[in-house]
Parts: sequence; structure tokens; C-alpha cells
Amino acid sequence: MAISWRAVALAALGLIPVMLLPQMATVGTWVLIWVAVVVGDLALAAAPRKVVVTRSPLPSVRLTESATSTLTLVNADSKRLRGIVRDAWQPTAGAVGNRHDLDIQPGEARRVRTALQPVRRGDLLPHRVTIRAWGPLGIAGRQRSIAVAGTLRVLPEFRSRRHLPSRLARLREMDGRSAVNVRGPGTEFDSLREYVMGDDVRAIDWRATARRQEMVVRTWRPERDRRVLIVLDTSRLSAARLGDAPRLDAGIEASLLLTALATRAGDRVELLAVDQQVRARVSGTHSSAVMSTMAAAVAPVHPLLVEPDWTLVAQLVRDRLSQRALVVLVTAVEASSVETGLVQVAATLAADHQVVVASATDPEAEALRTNRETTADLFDAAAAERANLERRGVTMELRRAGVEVLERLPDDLAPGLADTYLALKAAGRL
Amino acid sequence: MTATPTIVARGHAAGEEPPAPTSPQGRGRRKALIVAILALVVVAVIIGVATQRSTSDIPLAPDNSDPGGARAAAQVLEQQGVDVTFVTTTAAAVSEAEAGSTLLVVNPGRLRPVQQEAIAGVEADIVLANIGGGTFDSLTDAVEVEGYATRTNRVAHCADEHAQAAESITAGGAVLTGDVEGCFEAEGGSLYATWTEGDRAWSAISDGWIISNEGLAVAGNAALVFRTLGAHDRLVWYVPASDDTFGIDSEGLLDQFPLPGPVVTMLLLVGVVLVLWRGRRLGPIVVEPLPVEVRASETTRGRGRLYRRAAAHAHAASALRAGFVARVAGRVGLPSHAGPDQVVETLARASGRGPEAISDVLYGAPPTTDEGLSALTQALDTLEREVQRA
Repeated sequence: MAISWRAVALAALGLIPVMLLPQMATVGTWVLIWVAVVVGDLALAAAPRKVVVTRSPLPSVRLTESATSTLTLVNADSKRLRGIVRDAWQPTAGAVGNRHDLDIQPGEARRVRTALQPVRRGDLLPHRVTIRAWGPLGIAGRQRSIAVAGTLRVLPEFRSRRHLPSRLARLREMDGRSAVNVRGPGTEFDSLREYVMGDDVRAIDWRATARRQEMVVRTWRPERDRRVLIVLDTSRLSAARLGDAPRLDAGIEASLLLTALATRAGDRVELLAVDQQVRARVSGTHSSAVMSTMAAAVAPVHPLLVEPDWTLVAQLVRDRLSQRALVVLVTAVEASSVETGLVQVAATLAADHQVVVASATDPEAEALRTNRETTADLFDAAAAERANLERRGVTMELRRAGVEVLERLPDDLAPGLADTYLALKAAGRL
Repeated sequence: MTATPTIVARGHAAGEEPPAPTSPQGRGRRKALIVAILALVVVAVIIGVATQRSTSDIPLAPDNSDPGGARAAAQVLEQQGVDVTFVTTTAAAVSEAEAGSTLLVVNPGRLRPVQQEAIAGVEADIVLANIGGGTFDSLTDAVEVEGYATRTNRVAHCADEHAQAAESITAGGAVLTGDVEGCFEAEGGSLYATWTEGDRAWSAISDGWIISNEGLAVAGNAALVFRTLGAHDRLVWYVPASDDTFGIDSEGLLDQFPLPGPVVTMLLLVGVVLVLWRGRRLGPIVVEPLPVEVRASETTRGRGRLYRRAAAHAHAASALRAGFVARVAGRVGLPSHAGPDQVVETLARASGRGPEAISDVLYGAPPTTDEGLSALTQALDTLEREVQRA
């Protein structure tokens, strides 16, 4: 039940007779009239209970893109439905203009569209659909809120994709390049071609030259069909807010860029999101579908305030990888990394695989370290310095165990990880 | 953005599942909530009633059981067959105090002249108690207050039968003078006085303490109190309240409006309808399920605060020094496990400063004060800039 401004106006109209005949009886009479009109209007209003509401399926969208929520309302009542409908979503879904006027004849249907401008990654949920049906006078109305299922999956923004063209260009440079610079054990023989001025004489294939009676050099290409396993830490360390976004978002960006790059380079990428248990898993996907699969898989993953279980990670990696592969642990390097077991597990994995630990650092930490305004700032600076030293210690320990450590500011993590991948590939260390 | 609705179908939605009605579970929950709220209200009322004190904390009130109250005197008087009526307003006192009853006025000096005049006009016998503080000229001019006496034991020395029966009382307070029968002499006057005005008997007990629960049982206080207050079988016990508006011409809220009452009522009703109109929202408020996010620098700041609270200047200094060495080590080509001598020597070469100065900055005595820490930080920053320039 709801009343409109008309009900207020009707009540206010009562002031005229009351002023002309200032008696309580006049007030009472007008109150009775008002109640009668409201109840009558209410009785003639269509029943929102008899409106059948369905929501069209929603496609996944990338963050910063917009979506449209479409509701179909069928008036199954025998009365004409005039009123308003509100398609409520959680605030971050950005359903701003979510109220729509309705005028549906009995048995007819209407479709209303609400534009959604999501501002957060993840599965965003609608709340209730509220229908308010006015009576013929528009004075009183019946109202009902119903839950209409639906989910808007908002994929990570993948802002770092702007770094992809430059990295792909570097990949192509590596591809087909003669073995001038790349003569590591990891490079694969590609083909033979005629010698041109400038080729390294060491690349000359003498046997082929003898057969062909012209100078022939061997060409190489980076290895293909290597396996890349990205382990995304979703524990308490990933909940830390760096700038405006949690550390996990920087990790997701880096994972997506690495996936895009490695897939183009012909490697197979898998992903695990783990804290105390596996939160998301992407594996065995065909290279053309891997990006969308991965984006959809990590979209609903959110940090949890639990300790990471690195022993579980070691177990999972052993189960999945039989041959040498690139294992990227996207987490945070901190003083506590020793206690949580990251150092130990990374060192163990490094014996069988190429391990990279990627960590997004706090942009505020440097400001904290160099701030000298008050005495309190000096103590904060000392604390920041101490944290730096501890992190440096952990990093050194990891490097000693043969683990590549990548520490970057959140925005630089994705290109940094891509560069590390290219460097490892160029050096044939995959 | 409001999309214009478009007709997409005509007829009933065939084969479409009817929407799930509000789940009985949800309805049950709402019912449970209403029951819970009702139960809470009932419990609150019961607790409120149960804990409501049947006694007051007004000094010298007949329902106050504190030492400063007078419940003991009132209860004894009631047991003796005196009907005690407790009032706090002048209007009630005047209407209750009929002829043939006693009107006890506690703190007569606190009454406004209008109230005093009204009290003076009653037909009951009047007992004034706890005199002092304020005047009571409009009530009676038979007695006046001339100074104050300390509380001590005093003998009657007068012809009044109540006073004689009491023999001696322990009292003090305002000293009463005037053309009256004064008893219990004190510094040029008396502490108890009786007189008659017309056919009404007046008495004044200067010290209210003798009526109180605390002072009643001392010496002959009780005898004096019971005889004075129990003279008639009706006693009106008047303790003036400070918020009594007797005699103050006040207009009611409605009287201040020039509008007639029904119009005001109608306006109020319109206001209520307005509230109902604006108060009904189109569906519930939606809250965001917020993810957990912790500011990354929080731990560092916490540690900094800890250093500061513990005044760990030396600890902070060692962190700053170690951090400095670790940072510049790479730039000047120091191995990670170089000893102090090697560090000093390398940095002296890099910065162009004397080894002693650098040794002092890096390995000198740790600071113990804020100023010392500040100076050390500045020295480290200067040295870092010099090394960078080199």
C-alpha cells in the first residue's frame, strides 16, 4: 500500500470546508471521505501479485563497459495496471535510472530496460523488483517487491591489455630470429635459409651449405608448447589495498596479460586461485577460448582474510605438472612469507620448474619511508625501512633458491611480468 | 536512463512459471520478528513497572525513605490514624486543606508570593517546617527569621503543651522572633513557635531535620513532630515543587495560534498524510556486500606507532641506518655482506667525505631523543644525496 501526492492534495483540500465550518465534525467527515476514497482507489488498483516478471539473461561485461537489465512484465490481472516499477540492483552495479512508468492492459506485457554501469568486478546481484500499481484515481496504490533471479558477471577490466601489442612485437622479433643472440639450450631449430650479410657466421650450417652450394644458416625460434601455471594467491595478503584497488586486482591484471602473451607465443596457460582451498581453476582450455574462460573464472574471486596454504599449492602444482614448466606465484613478498611457507615451497618447486614470484608493492610505502615532516613520521619511516629490509631478506632468500622475484607497483606488475616472461623465453629458460 | 516501454506480446504468458510467492520461510521470519518486537516491548514495560520506585527522592517528602526523607514520620502518623495526603502543587494543597485538618508546608520560603497568599487563605491549621532561605512575608508576618543557630540539644522552656511534652529536642536552623509563643530558645529567639490567626492555629518548626527519618528519633523530636502534625486526623503534607506554574498566566500551545482548533487538527492530519506519502519508499534500500580490504600500509604505520610509544629511538635509528646501507650498497658496488670498515671506506670514496664523519653517521652512538633521531635522519638523507650525485 502506498499513497501519492494526490492523497495529500485531497487531504489538504479538506482545509477549505474546515475553515468555513470550523468544527471537529467537519474534520471527522473529511477524514471519512478521504479514507473512503483511498480505500476505493486501492480496491480498484491492479494487483502487483498477479504480474509475472521475468528477467532476460545477462551477458558478461568487462568492468567499465555497460550492460542492460531487461525485465518482462506480464499483467495477468483483469485490471489495467498503471504504476511504476523499480529494478533494484546492488549499488556498484550502477543501475541509476531503474524506475520505469508502467501502463499495461490486462493480458499484455511490457519490457523495461535498465542501464547498468558496473563499477566493481565480480558477480553483481539484483535485489528486488518493486511494482507499485495505482488505482484509477492515482491516489492510492498497491505495492509489492519480488525477487527476480539474475546475475551480472563483471569481468576484470584488463587495463593492461594496452601493453600487449608492444610485447607481442618483441615476441615476433624473437621468433624467426637467427641464433645470433639466442643460442641457449631452450631455442628450437626452425628452418634453414640463405645466408645474408650480417648473419652470425656461427649459425652457418656447413653440412647444408655443402649440399646446396650456397651459404645456408640455421634459424631458431623460441620453444613452443611450454606450460605456464599461474597461481593466484587470494588469501589475506591479496586483500591489502594498494592505492585504490586490492592487491588481488593487480595480480589478476598481470595474470591476464601473461595469459594473453603466452597463449600467442604458443604456450599453454593454466590458472589456480588458491587460499586455504582452490577458488578458481582454469586448465585444458583451447587457446582461442582461454582468455574469456580465464576472465570469467577470476571475475567472482575475492580476497579472504585467511592465511595462504602454500603446502596445498605445492601439492596442486605437483599433481598438474609432470614436465618442467613456468610456475608464476602471484602473491606478496613480506616478512611473513617465511612463516607462511612461501619461501620453502617456492624453493622446492624451483628444483623442478622455473618459478617466478610476482608481488605488487604498496605505492604508499615509499612515501611513508621518505616522509620527514614530524617525529611520528620518522618512526613511520624507520618502520617502513625495517619492512623493506625484511622484504629484501626474503627476496634474497628466494633468489638464492633460483626463484625469479618480481616486485613492482600495482600498475607496473602486469607489464613487468610480461617482460620477465619474454626474458625467460629469450634466454631459453622455460 | 528510462527506456520507453514497448509492447512485445499480447496475451497471457503461456508456459511461463508463475513467480514464486514470497517464501513461507520469509513470511515466517517476518512474523517471528513482529512477535519478538512485541515481546521486547512487553518485557520492557514489565521491567519498567517492576523497577519503578514507589518512593521519591524529594527531601522531607512522606514517601522518601532516604535519611533526608520523612517516610518514618508519615508512616507513624498513619498508624496512629492520621490520613496523610502528599501534595506538591499549591492548587492541590489549597483544595485539600479543608477546615479541621493540618497543612504542613515544607520550605515555605521557596513559595512565590502568589503561592504564599493562596496558602495563607486556607482554613486548615498550618505548620511551617524547614524555615530559612527565602522570605514568607506573604504567608504570615507573625514570625521573622533573625539569624541562625547551630544544631544542638535544647530544652523547651515554654508553656506550649506540645513542647513541654517533648521536653527537649535536638535542632538548629533559623531563629524565629515575633509576638508568638516561642519554645526551645536559641540566640535571642526560638526554634519552635506557635500562635493563632483568627481561629486557626499556626506553628513553625524552624529545623526540618527533626521531621526527617534521620532526625526523628533523636531526643524529644518525635514527640514534638507527632503532636504538632497529628493534632487533626487529616494531614496535608505539602512539599512545593519548583515547576509549579500556579499563578503564572501561561497560554497553551494551541492558544498561541490564531487559527481555530479544527483547522489546526486538519493541518496536522495533512502533515501526517504528507509523511505517509514521502515515507513509503519504492522497495527496500539495497546495501552493498562489501569485500574485505585492508590498507597495506596499516601494518607499517602500526609498527611506527609502536616504536614511538616505546620511545625506541635506537631501534628506529638502526633500521634507518641499515635501510640506507642496503639501498646505497648496490649503487656504490658494495657486496651484501660487507663489514663496517669496508662500508665506511667505500662511502667515503663515493661521497668525498671523511671516513670519521661517515662512521659517525652510520655507526655512532644511537640517538635517545626525538632531536637526535631527527638529526640522524637528516645526516643520512644528506649522505644519500651526496652518494647519488657522485
